[in-house]
Amino acid sequence: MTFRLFGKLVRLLLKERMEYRGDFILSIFSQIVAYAGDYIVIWLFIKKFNTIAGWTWPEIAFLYSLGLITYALGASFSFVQMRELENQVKKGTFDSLLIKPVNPYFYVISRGFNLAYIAHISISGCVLIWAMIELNMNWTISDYLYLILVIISGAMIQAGILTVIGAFSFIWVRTNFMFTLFFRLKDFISYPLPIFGTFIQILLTVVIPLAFVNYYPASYLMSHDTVMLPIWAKWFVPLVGLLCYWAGYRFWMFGANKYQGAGG
Amino acid sequence: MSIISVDGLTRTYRQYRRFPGVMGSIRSLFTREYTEETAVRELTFSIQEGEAVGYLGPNGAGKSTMIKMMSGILVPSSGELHVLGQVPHQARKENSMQIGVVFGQRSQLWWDLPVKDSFDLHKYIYKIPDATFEKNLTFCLEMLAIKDFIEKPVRQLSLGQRMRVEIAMALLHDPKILFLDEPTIGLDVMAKDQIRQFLRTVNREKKVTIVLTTHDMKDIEEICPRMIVVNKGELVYDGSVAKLREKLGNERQVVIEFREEPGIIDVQGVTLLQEEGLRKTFLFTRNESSVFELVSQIAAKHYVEDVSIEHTDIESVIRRLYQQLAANQ
Repeated sequence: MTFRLFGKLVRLLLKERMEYRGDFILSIFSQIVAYAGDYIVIWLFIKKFNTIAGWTWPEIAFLYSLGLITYALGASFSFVQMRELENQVKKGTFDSLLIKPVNPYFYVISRGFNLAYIAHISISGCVLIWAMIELNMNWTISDYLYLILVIISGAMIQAGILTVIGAFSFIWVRTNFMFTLFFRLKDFISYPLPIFGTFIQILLTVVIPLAFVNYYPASYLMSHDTVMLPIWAKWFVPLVGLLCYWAGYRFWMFGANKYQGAGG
Repeated sequence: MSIISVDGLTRTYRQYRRFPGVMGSIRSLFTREYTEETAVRELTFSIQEGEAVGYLGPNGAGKSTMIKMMSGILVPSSGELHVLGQVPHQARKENSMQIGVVFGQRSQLWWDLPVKDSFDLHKYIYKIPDATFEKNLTFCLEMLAIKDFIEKPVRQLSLGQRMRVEIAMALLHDPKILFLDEPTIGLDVMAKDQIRQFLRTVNREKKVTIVLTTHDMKDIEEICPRMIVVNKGELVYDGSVAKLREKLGNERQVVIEFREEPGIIDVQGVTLLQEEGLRKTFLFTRNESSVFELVSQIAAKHYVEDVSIEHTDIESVIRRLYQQLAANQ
């Protein structure tokens, strides 16, 4: 039932987007240009030093793309939905959702499913494939399967964190500054973890586990030594993904219940 | 067996203290300081199947909070609340299949898509069988004259058209109860009439129980034989419109314009309320003597230029009630 509802909503969303076709296509185009700019900045940076913490340009490109593609996948199910939640709670439009015979979390993420992330996915996907060809790695089938697992888990980590932030709308109403904080932290994972101090390393491994999105799995796939955790930390990635997403969902539902009980 | 029963229902809100600035917003996150506000206080009433009840009260009386509790959006702080035999917030999904809710100020439609798309999604979410959907759609399309704009995007509809669509959608799944929170707000006279007539038909013919909040007394007069009046969360009146009129209609406000200063008016049953020069407003308490008798008593002693007697329409009855409530505080 729920997956069919998702399909139904996506069809309507697509139709809605097509009402403003020009705007949609332009926004996708501008996102691609903006991220291409990001890649160029990193490329210029590395050209100067040759490597960063022992990582070459194609390796960094792979690391960055892994971070971006998982962000796009996770955020399409969470970011705009969670950012708008604050407004929905304030204006009371969240109420109209609670009178429907649906799971409110599922309805919110499906109703706001963001098709525009196709921009991020296409550019990061292309660079990811380019980097893999460039690095000429002798991957086994299980390495490819691991990459797919890592992409799914990374998306779940990012969606989970964004969902936790969104859930604060139910409790504290204002959440903007937390989203800003998240994006600042996310900037860190554009580079390998060892270039940062211990504090950031601990922060990104234990507190906000963004290092599991790309650094640990990429280190394993590129055969780099890891800091903080030993190389077998690669197996933590799916666990951290499930845990983050589960925590996000539970906390969101807890928030929605609290809204019904105390907020409004 | 009543379809809605409310017993000693109370709902309070906690208002946490907020501090200004960025550091303040972080501080606000950890503050435990709050003030408690009571939106609904110890309410008790019940509504039978098939009734149409107007839920009235000044702004901030807790009307919307009550609708939200009955529709399962909010959880009561204390007291008992049963809708269709269930506790609304516990059986939220189950109950939502059997109730329709319309918020006058918030649309539930897809702004950029044709009306039809919102209806189709509603059909899917509420698992409405094809036959039921067709039957209800035809009924609403005809009664509310929606046919002409069902293919139009919602953003192109007038407020009156949109409101008709919102109400129609809330009825597509054959709800037993229809809650409406200010359904006629901001509409023109024609649109209001159309909606009132439709709601009356839905109540009388389809036997749908209706609970509506409004500030427009005509809504009550034309749709609801019974009204519940609340003020500051407390129940002040529950009964028929006619009874309230009788209760408060014993008093009339009369404005008399004199030609010259009459001095003190000493007539039994007449109290001076307000004066602006020679224009004076009196409160007439009708016991044995009629308004005309009292007016002629005054006119016999003083030169009277003009007399106007306030109508006893429901609006003035309610105004009187609100004035009394304000005066008693």
